[in-house]
Amino acid sequence: MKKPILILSFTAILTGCAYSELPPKTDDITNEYVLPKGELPSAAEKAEVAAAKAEYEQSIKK
Amino acid sequence: MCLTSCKGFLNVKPQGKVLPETDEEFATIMHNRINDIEGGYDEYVIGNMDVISRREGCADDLDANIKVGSITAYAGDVINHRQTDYREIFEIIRDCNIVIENLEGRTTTMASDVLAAAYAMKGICYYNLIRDFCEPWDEGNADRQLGLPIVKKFDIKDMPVRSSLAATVEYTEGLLNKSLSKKMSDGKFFFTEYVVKTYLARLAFWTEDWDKTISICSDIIAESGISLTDISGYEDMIQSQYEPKGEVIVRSHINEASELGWYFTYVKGYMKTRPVSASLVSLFDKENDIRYKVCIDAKRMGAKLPEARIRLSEIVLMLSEAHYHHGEEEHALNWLNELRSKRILNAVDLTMDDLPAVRESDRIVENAEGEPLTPLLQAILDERRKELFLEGDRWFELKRNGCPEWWIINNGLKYTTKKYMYTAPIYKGDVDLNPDMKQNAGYE
Repeated sequence: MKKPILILSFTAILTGCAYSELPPKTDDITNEYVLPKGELPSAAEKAEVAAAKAEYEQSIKK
Repeated sequence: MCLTSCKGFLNVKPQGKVLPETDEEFATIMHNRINDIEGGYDEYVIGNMDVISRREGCADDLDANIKVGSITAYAGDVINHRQTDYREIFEIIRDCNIVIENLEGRTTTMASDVLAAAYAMKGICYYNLIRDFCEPWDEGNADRQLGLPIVKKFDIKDMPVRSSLAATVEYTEGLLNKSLSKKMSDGKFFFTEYVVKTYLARLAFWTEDWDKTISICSDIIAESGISLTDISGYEDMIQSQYEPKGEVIVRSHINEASELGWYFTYVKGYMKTRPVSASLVSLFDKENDIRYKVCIDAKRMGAKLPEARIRLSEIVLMLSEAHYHHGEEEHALNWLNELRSKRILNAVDLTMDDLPAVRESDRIVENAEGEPLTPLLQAILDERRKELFLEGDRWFELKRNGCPEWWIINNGLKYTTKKYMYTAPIYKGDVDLNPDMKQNAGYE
């Protein structure tokens, strides 16, 4: 019994895939772009935002 | 088993072509897409509340520097979302191509109506792609500007490259005109004559064909049977949950077939988390302008129902601006005043002598043709900003008029809307697959 099993296994190996079943690898597998990074705002920019917030708070008080 | 190779095991026969055959079967393809529009699910043809929320998040009518809130912070955050829009829209184009390829030549009324819908939907998809994935129209340079792949038929192996912007626009106009030539007889196919003409007008406007814009807009105003809604009907029209009321030419989400009502409740709530900008608020006559009363609440949050729709006001505004660029200032002013009379109680007509001076501190400083604003054009753009607030228009106005760069601060960091972000990236999968497919600048 052992000999036929060995022969069968060996044959199966020999009749294996003639080509790679795996899809081709690409260098860049991601489909997403890296999003832009933020920067540190200047003091003037922070002041501008503070002013916009203050104006808004004042406007909804009326 | 031992004698069979993996090659044999993997040699799965293709299923064979399974295509619709009858007119009704092809009609089903279009009905599925139309059902998505009517149920509010579609984001890519007419659009929906989700799309409006994203566009308003990227624009500046709502001021992220006061509070970012729960909507898109700025355009840089949705780069990857926008590239998948490209893929989704071309799937709709694929469906339209399947219908067109198989029904052209058939002479039944059903075939003609389905073809009209397919050509219209494909044309609108191309218009939407042009506005988002191509740079703003540059008259005199449009033959060299990058357009889109022109996909005339469904072929899974085909890898078309980008045509010029001029060629893409010509193709898009052809599709919409082809739809009109079919003279759709059944309104259940959605894309009736004046819906298609509205998109022809929008395309002409976007591409600065002022003659054509004047001609088509004038036709729509004169012949569509739709007239500007006045002050008394404005709120009902704007806040209508499903029914297209008053001057609405076309809208999505006219029923609850998508069962997304629960989701849109959240979207409406999210849009109320970022305040309206001071620059927009300052444009309104707060006492007499119905748009201010209906669309902005006491906390300076947007109160307009943000459904995707096209109204006759937009046609009037396009006509006014087209007359302006054509050197016909009196006509431009007349149409502007016509709209104002329907929105402002006891409106006093604007005259060339009393137009406010151009505001140097504004975000938009040049017009679509690259020239400095004048008082009249500023008045037209201001009226458009007030009229189309929370209808997804402001982003494209910024793009059309110079792509100004500006920044927001979110979580302590500054993020800038750069010029290149006004043009979305082509789907990266297509660019990676086809070395001849050119990506838009800024995303290489």
